[in-house]
Amino acid sequence: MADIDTMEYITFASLGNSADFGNLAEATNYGIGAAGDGTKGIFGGGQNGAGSQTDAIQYVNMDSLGNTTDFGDLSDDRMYVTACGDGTKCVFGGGVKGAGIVNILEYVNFASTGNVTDFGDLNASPYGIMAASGD
Amino acid sequence: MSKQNRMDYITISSTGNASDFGDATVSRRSGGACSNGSRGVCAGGEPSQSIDEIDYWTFASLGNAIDFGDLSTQKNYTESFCSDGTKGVVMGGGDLPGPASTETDVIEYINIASTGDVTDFGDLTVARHHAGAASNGTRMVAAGGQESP
Repeated sequence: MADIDTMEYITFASLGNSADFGNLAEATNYGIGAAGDGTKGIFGGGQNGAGSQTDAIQYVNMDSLGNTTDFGDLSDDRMYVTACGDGTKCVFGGGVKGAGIVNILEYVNFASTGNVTDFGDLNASPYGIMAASGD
Repeated sequence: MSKQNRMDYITISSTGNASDFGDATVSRRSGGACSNGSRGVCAGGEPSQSIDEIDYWTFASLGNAIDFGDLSTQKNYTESFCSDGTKGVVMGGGDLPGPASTETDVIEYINIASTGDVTDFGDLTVARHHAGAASNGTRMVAAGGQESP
């Protein structure tokens, strides 16, 4: 498989094809956890093109086309992370760290760039989980 | 690693460990999920082969997920699933588990407040699976992923 570092977007109100948005500045290609707050879109973790997992968190301003900017770091390099937000916090959960699967929940605040803070633990150690927010 | 059908929840405004919410209709991993604020939906994934199931649940009521409808084909690696509060849009995905998976350029959507199968939205510029995606309620951005060489 070939890794992709591009981003593309659609506008919900208008059916049609997607268009180019920009590129991931950090070479993080798949297994990324992502969430938005109405202003930023945040992308955390993943595996890069060299096959290494990353702790990078990067973001875009959703209203402005362009490449990602550094936001901060996860607590560890990992991939298959899931992410979800309530408009204030972006919570990253689970994933694969090296060859192991973790039950970590940690978060950043959308409004402030920086590294993650511990949130708590999942009941199991899953990866490839799905997450949605009712807030 | 076995796939699971468990659904857990957290309250994002506080911190703490996850609690049991209910069960999904099918054990799976590597699907996608989004919500309209009151209803959550998840689509695709792989129990052992890719599936086309879409499930939903209501955030206000703990309990098991219910069948919502189907994707246009069996898909996994559908992490790129986001909502504007009305539509839930899936951008891309793969057809098989593992490295044999062939990615799709299909973009399709559901109306979260109702139930039913997906409707075609358009096409990606690059067929991709395992992308991450975020929404600001107006625009959805899908980032990264993989494509066949």
